[in-house]
Formats: sequence, structure tokens, C-alpha cells
Amino acid sequence: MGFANVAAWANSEGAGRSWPAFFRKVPASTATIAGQWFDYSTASGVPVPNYYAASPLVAATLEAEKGIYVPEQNGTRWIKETIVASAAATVTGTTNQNQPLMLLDYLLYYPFIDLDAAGEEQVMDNTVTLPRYADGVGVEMMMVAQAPTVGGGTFTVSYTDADDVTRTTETVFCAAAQPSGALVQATGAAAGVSPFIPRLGRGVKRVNSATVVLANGGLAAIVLVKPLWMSYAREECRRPTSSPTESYGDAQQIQAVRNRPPQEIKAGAFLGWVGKGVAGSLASAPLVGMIDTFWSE
Amino acid sequence: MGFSSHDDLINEVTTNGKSQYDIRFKTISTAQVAGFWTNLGVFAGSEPASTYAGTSLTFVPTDDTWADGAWQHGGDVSTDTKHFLYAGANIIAAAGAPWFLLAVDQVGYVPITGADVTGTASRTITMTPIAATSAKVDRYPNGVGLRAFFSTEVAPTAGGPNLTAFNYLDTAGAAKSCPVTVGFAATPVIGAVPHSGAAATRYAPWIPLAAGSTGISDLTSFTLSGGTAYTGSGQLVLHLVKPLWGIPLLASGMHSLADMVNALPSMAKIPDGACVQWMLMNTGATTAAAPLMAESLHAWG
Repeated sequence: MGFANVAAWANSEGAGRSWPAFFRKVPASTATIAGQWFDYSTASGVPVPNYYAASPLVAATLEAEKGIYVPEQNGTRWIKETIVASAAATVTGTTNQNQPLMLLDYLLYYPFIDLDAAGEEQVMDNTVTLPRYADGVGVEMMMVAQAPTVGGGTFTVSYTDADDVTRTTETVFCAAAQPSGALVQATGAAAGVSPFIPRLGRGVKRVNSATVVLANGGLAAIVLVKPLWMSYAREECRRPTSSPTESYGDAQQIQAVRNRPPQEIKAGAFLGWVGKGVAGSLASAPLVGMIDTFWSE
Repeated sequence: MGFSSHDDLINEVTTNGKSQYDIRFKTISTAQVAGFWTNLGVFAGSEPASTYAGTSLTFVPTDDTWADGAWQHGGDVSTDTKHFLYAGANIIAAAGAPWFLLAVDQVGYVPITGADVTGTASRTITMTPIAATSAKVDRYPNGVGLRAFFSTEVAPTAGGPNLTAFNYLDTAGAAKSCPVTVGFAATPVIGAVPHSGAAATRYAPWIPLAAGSTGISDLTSFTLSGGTAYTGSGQLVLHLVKPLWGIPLLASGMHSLADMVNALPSMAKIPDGACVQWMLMNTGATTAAAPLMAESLHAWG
């Protein structure tokens, strides 16, 4: 069930059917590349870091309570609003500003793909299947570095789409050397970083294999995710200690219904953000905020 | 009651004078820890620093007549109802930004002292369940919307136990439990919410409730076991609160405003007897002697 009208939506607050989930994620001090997307679920803070630690190439799921935690409910859960802000890494740091952010439901991952194994098809074990969005519609793939990469490699991915058609991606470029937690893939050229691996069809049901064409170095996980919500950290929060001693900062609040349709959080969802360092490195710059939720009767 | 339209709101405020503007202060006298939540009730300000007096494990109801000091928001207005129209706040500190300030209505608290802090056996709380009467403690009928959290009144010497059981009655009087084990920090500083911070199994600001629970009518028992038991003469407080509104504070000295008329849901209600208190999330380590200022306008009709 959902909500019959705006009054039913608004009344959730007074009826006690609301829960705020706070997060504070701090990427490590290793610089990320300008234009690079970064997986904040791998960063330390609240909640604790996710390392994609499981058997190599075997599909695995993440536990909901280890992501941004929204307690399970009897009714359906919905995003009421999000508030995000990004603290500067230093009092003069500005490289985390103008940062697009995407809230994802992390569905399934295939860890420890060897990005040095050029020419070798690395076949996945799909004993575990999509726990949510099981038909694969709207499900995307992203490749997350699990160890520092050299960069500059290429790869292809064989996957089964939402219509059970087996497809192979175009040759996907890897961006330049990047730290753990960075999203590896680019599109078409090494400089064109994209959050998701390009695909055809209506979504991805499972990954069948990955083949490194040109060695990239490092290890990575392919993660199947469902994008839920976009936000934007515009100006970094900081106050210089020398002239000009002015305070800078911004938080973006987006409310469901007023600003965009409500978005459901499926039972068992593991929630996390990816962000793009448009202005430079995201290293050591905390991403903080709240995902406020309602649930239906 | 409430406001039937924007016209009604404007009439109540401008013709009938049913509004009040307030500015409140707190000074965070003890440095806080990055990633932790803080109960600002322990610090002095426009309301004195609370001592959370009482008998250990016995619930103490609080309202706007609380002896520790409570914001005087205009007294009872029933059958009208009071609502926030806007709020703003800022904080001045060399470190700690950005912050998130929460206003809560504290319905009551449970002092936890001595062996009830250091002990590892189940602790039973003495409390008369919240009902649906006109009494101030019942201002959220049957506890609907109420949430619970622990805070530190006096820091324990060391430790770091787990909250392995947290039991309560829900709004229907059914016995429920927190569905997860919650970790407590080793040495939370004064004011800190011990189950916050950057470590595994910290859930904050609220203790998670069982699926379907819309509130808490009775705090029944808890167990601090596993991990490392607290030592020393620490004092904790278990609060029962209704969240009212929140606002991000972006950088030192930067004032943030929140419009509550055009929000959805709009205009958080201030029930008669509300004991408004403050909580703060510290992204960084907030420096000592940091002053917080919060302003708000509320109206009734």
C-alpha cells in the first residue's frame, strides 16, 4: 500500500510513521580524480565502510543494517526528504563543491575481478540472484575499485538483461589511476567517466562474465544497483582561518511531493550514495546528511 | 484546531496577536567528538544545564514546568494548537561543521546511575505507561511518535558495552524490542549520545524500534552486556522525546533558516506542556565553548 493523497502523506508524521536516517561518510585521504565518481559506501564513518568482501566472482548481497539504516516496517517505506551537505577537507578546500550525488539501492555484487587478467573471461557464480527489482528493470551496473588501479585499461561485460537477452557491452574504458572506492569505468574514452557501465535493454538481471581486454591493474567489484534519488552538494562547508575569514556552505533539501515524487525504499534495501568530484578530489571531505522516511499504514 | 487556510493563519497572527518569537541559547562547554550526536540539555544557556535528577531507573515526566528549566513558549492555548512557522539557528565554533540541529519535545527521562550503568544484567524501568488522557505527560496519546535515546550526564571511566536488549510497549500496549544490537562508545563525553559515532552497530539518534512501531508508551527494560562493561561512576540518561524539526548548520557563524509553512508536512505542532530540548550532530569535533543560537516563530489558532 501507499498513500491515498497528500493529507495521508502529511499525516504520517503525526501518526509516528516516520524515521530519519543520518549518515556521515569520510573518504580516505588518497586523492580521487576530478570528474571521477566515488562510492561513499566504501568510506569510513556512519555507517561503517563496505568493503565488498566475499568470495571472488560469486554474487553476494549486502546487509541492510550496514548501509544507511532505515528500520524495516510493516508498511512500505518512502523517502520523505533528503538533506545533504559536504564539509571541506581543509579550511581552504573547495574540490568537493558542485558535487552531483546519487542515492542507490545496492542489490548484488561480484567482488574481486582481476583487472590485470587481460584476455581471460572471468565467469560469475549467480547462485544468489537479485533480492529486489528481481526482473532487472532499471537496474544498472557499476565497477568499484577494491584496490588502487593503474588505470587506462579496457573491459567488456556479458550480462543478461531484463528481457532475458544475453548481451555484451561495448568495450568500456577505465579512467586513470584511482583509489579504492572510485568508480572505474568510463564511456568511449578514458576521460569520459560515467557512474554506470553502458548497457542496452531495460536493465540488468545478472552479470555472466567480465573480460579485461587491456590490463588496468587492481581489483574491482561489479555492483548491481537501482538508482533512487539525486541530490547535489553545491558549496563546501568551511571557514578559513586567515583572510578572508568568511563562512561558506550549503545544504540541499529535497522534499518528496513538493519537489519530486516519493521514492519507495524496498524491504531489505542497502542504501548508499555515489558522488562525482566535479571540481576535484573528494578525499577527506565528509558527506553528511539525512534521509527522512515515511512508511504507509 | 490549527489553521484552516493561509488567510486564517494571517488573521490569527496579525489581527488576534497569536504568535510568539523566541531566541534560545546554549553554550557547548565541552568539546564534542566527530560523528557523535550531543544532547545539549547538559549545557548552560537560556535554560540552565540540566542535572536529570531522580532515582535511577525511574521515569521522570517533563513538561514546560520542569524544574531544570524549560523554554516558555506561551503557555497552554487549548483548544487552539501551536505550530512552528519558521526556525533558524547558527553556531560559532572553530571546528565541527557542518552540524545538524534537532528540536525535540522531551516527554520525560530515566536517570541511570551507579551499578545500573556498569552492570550487565537486565535493568527494569519504573514508569507509568503513557495513556490518552489530558495529562501533560500524555500529550502524545499512547506515546505515538515518541522515540528514545541515551545520553551521557557524567562520562564513564572506560568500557563500551552493547545494548543487547531494549524493551518497550508500543502505542497499542504490546511488548516490543529493538531489533538490533546497539554498540555504545567507550568513553562518551558529557552530552554525547553513546550509541552514535563512527563504529559498527552505532544507531543514532534514536534507538531502532521494531517493525511497525509508531511510538513508545512505556520504557520497560534494557540490558547493557557484551562488549566491555562501563567502569567508574558514569551517569547516563534515557530520554523519551518527540522529534519536532531539524535544520542543517553549515559553517561557523552561518545562520540557517527553515520555512515550515510551505514544507510538507508543514508547521510542526507544539503541544501544550511541550518541553523543547536540543540535539546536535557533530560532523567534526566541535570545539569547547561553542555558542549555539536558535530562533523561531510560532503561532496558534
